Amino acid sequence: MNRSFLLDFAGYLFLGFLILGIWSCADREYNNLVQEDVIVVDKTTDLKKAGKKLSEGKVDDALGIFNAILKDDESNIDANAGLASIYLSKNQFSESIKYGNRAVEEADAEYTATFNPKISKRHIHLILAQAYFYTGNFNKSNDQIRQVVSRNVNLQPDALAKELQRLSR
Amino acid sequence: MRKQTAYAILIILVNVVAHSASIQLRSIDSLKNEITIQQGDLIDLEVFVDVGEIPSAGVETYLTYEPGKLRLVNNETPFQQGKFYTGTIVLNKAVSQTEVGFAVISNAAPYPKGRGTVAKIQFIGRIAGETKVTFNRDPQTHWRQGRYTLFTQFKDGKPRLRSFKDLTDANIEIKNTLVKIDRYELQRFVSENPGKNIPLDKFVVASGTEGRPKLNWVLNAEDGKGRPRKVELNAANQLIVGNLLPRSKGEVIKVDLRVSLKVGDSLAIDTATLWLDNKGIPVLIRFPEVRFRAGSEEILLLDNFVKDRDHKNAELRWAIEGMPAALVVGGVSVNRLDRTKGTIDNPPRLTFRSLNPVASEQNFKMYVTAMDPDENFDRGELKVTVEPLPFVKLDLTLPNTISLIKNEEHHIDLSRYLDVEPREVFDEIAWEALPSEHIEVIIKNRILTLRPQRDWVGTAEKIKIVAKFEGKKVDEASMTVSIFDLPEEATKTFPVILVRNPIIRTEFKIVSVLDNVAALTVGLTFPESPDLKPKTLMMGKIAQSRNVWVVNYELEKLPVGGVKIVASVIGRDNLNQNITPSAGTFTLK
Repeated sequence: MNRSFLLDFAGYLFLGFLILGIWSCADREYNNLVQEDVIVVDKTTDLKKAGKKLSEGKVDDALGIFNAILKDDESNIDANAGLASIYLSKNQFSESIKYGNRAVEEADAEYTATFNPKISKRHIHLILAQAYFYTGNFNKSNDQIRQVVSRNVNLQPDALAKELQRLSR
Repeated sequence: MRKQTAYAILIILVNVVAHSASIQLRSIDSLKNEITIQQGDLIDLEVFVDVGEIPSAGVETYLTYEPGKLRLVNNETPFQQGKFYTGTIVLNKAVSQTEVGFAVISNAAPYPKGRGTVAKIQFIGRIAGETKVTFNRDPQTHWRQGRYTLFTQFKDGKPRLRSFKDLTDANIEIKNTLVKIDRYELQRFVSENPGKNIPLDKFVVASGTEGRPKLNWVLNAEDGKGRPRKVELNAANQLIVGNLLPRSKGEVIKVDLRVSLKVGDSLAIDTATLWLDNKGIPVLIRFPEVRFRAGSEEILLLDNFVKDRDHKNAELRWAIEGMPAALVVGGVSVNRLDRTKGTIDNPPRLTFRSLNPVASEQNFKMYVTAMDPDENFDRGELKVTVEPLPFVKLDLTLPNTISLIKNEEHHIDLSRYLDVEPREVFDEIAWEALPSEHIEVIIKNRILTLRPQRDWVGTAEKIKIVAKFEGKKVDEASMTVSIFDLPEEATKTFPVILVRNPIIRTEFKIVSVLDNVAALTVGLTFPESPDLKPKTLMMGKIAQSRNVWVVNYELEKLPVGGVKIVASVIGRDNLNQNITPSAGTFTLK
């Protein structure tokens, strides 16, 4: 019994030192942090150009612009959202899902697209809902519908399709 | 005996006082006693004396020569008087067949002393060989004959006869006149100095002459076929080669040379033949046989097959003769290829491509010519073989059944349904279609168009499509075509859903959810937009789903004010029975 207590005591002691050590190291790291300059490149012009290409039906041109933007800024929401919609139109659903998920992770609730102010985070969820539907992943499609309608829904394929029709009308 | 004793006493007496006097016969030109002349040439000799410091009143000299080898120029008066003795000539004639004599006596003072020319005499060399002209000096024979060479010298105021102490005869070599062309050196010069003028005189050995003789040349030239060629010498007797050289490989020019040398009566001649070839001709190396399959192409880099000593490959001009019409021949740039002449610009390479597929191996022959800036050229044969394509596969697979909407055309891209190897011959496929009673079938530019008869509706119309390659390889496929009427909205039996792309608003998908279906076709019509043509699309089942069918479509642009779309879906069930069609009407804005 005593032996067990001693072991426990030694364990607590080691844990205490470990926390202390980690805390002190973190303190030193924090003190030595170097302020990095963040270069912000304005992509507004390119994004608007891509939006214009999309409205003109020049999907491949827009695709090139979005890809170029992502080379510099992988997390660009507009470019990811744009590519998600383009790949959806090309029936390349796995690509659409990849870029849609990137966009939806980065976008906040107030997001509106630079290339088209009518596009919001809701549209990205809708793209994902459609893409998952066309891949036969109805559960994930329902997940995205829930994000859009803010209700707990679990629709069967025919109802899900009708809901997609309604939401993207 | 008494007489002989008297001669001996006289000679002793003469010799005693004449120890310092000399007489010699020498060439007027060279002043030498050793003389070389040419056969037929003149020999000018002088009799030259040195009588010392005691004056002399006269001289009498006799010369002996070989008439067979030397001919006396003047038989009557062989000698011309020299300046030494100015007295009276008392003897100047041939005294025998082999001897000439000359004597002069000075009658009054002052009498000459010292050295000088007594007389001159001319001979002509007759026959090659060595000969002599000698003074008669034998105290027995010549003295007795009265043809002894002597002179007078004063002593005690009276002239006394004296013999010369030294008598030097003329030794004459008469040489044959000879010219000989050094053929070996001449041909070697030609080989080592291609294109240079040939200094012909340098290759002639002339003997029997002193100095450089004037050679006369006669030249004739002809080509390999015996046609005469113009040949010229310049002022320095150099054969002008430039325009004489052959222009093409294998040709030689034959030049006959005749050189002559005339000296006096003598004429020497030699002949030789010279062969001129042109080392500056571009030489084509044998071309390999160009072999390729129909539909592909073969490139021949011409630079690899030519050598030219005096020009760079880039300076050569190339041409093709006998270019076959069945082959496409191109240089590096088609625009720079003069097809009428078959001329190819630099960089020189030939690209061959066959115009048509061939059923069996075909051989073509043409001639390629390379010409340098000097217009020297070579011509080589080039063989081109076009092999037929190995036919691997011709497989036509069309959908067994197809459902169409009334009054609507349906287009099928046949390239998606024909598996042909090699793919390059696709354009050579001949198509045939056997139409049905109510459906017109048109095949144009790979597109199969099914055009139903106006307002006809029915099922199981069978059409047949045949694909042929050169009549050899054939495959065919049949389709059963059904034509449906557009369903009314009220007859909707299953959902027809249109889902728009949230961002690309011109793109949408038609979705239907229906069990036990084998094939679905959707017909899109745009009743309020006459510019938009109806479209028939085959729907596909989405992955991991047994009953969700989808097809996408994208409008070029969204018309102002929107567009009304009627989507009519028809199809067959798994038992190959037609299902009741369904339709949906949508407005896109």
